[in-house]
Amino acid sequence: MLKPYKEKIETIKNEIFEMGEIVTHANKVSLSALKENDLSMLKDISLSIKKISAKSNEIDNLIVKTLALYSPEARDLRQMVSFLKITNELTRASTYSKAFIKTFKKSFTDDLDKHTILEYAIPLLKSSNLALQTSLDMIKESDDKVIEQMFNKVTVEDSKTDDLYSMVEKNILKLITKNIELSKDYFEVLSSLRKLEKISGRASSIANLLVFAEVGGELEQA
Amino acid sequence: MPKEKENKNIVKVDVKELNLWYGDNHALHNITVPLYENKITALIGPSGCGKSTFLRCLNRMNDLISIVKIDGSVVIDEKNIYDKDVDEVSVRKRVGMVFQQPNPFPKSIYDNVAYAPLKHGHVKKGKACDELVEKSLKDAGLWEEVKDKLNDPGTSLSGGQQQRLCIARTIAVKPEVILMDEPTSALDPISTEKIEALMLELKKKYTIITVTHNMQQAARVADYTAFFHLGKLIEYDETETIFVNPSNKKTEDYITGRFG
Repeated sequence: MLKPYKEKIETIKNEIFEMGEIVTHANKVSLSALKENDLSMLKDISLSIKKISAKSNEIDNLIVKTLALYSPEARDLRQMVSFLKITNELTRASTYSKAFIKTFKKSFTDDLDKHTILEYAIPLLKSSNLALQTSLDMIKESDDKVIEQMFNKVTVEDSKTDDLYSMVEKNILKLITKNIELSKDYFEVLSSLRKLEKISGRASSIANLLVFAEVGGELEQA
Repeated sequence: MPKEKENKNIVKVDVKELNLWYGDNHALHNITVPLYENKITALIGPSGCGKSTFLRCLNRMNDLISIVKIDGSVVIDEKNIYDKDVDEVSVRKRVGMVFQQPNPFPKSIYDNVAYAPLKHGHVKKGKACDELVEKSLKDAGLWEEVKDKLNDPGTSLSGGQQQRLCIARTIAVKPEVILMDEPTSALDPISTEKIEALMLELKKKYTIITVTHNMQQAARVADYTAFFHLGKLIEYDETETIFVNPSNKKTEDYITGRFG
């Protein structure tokens, strides 16, 4: 493999990782805000979708140039195609993350039963972000076995977010039946928590793409 | 032309309004192109488009063909190599050439490299010559493979090794510019990759101009690419631009395999 091609791959990997870190950082701050019950911390999160999109475009153009110049094949080709799709997944994850912050901040008022909501919302956010962080870490990994372990971890966390969301949904529906006038706020909170489940879905898709890049097979997205 | 980059790069070979005729056949039409120092420029185009003819103009190799007539200028370091007071042998010392088929002399590996420097009086036999041979072979990425058999014939090496020997032979006379005419077309993929990696190393010291039919090779190694068609320079720009967003439809059609 020629040195300039190796360098290009490394640059792309680093850029994607950086892009993902912006999202996971925002999620980490959100998690602290929920744990400390201090929603004012959410105000400090600057997650600009415009900037994320610009970064995604920048990486995509770099990938197109690399495809044009180095005509990668087999594993190298799978990797480039996966990277191209991963930037899209990360853009979607950032949109969900931003939507969660915005809606949760607005609707999580003192009138709601915060304790019941947070009981599962905190682990939901934690699992969702762990899935995304693990999928990002996979980008820098080259050992097949480690990649498989990480893939399994992402799958487990994604599955956990599904279960946790179901629990929180069940609890919130119970709260709504008890206090119907707060149903709008409860539904909005529920809607915001659904975004966390979607983030882990994107993490799962990223993990699938990275396994496709490394191991091969058919291109599949979760 | 890549105007923006002209300010950042140093022009090593400045070709202006170069025309060439083989008898009545006008083979190169008004070629004007600045070729940059310490860069690899790839010349691409369909067979018979004039790229090899153009390459040979850069070290006056076409002077050997009696029916060739040339006008225009090829300025290297502010001196037109076609000026009457310029001796073509001195030009070829400064502008080395590697050909399509590896063509080592029927001599030992050592002598292949030492021959020209000794002939030109760059070194004398002995330690200085040994050092030059070693350095040239190292720079050509061949030293480790041949250091224990320097007295073996050059022709005993594999095709890829022979081509690197020819490169070592070229750089032994310390040229400023290296011309390569399809240097890997006779080689297998592994040898090709070695030559390409070597080209990327060599460009740190030399200006390289290469003719290739291998589009991917141009894309992989060249900083600049010039597309020739029917003796005309159709497009010249950064390789990235040529391969991602060419401005001329003919270039795009050629690169995507629609003609040629």
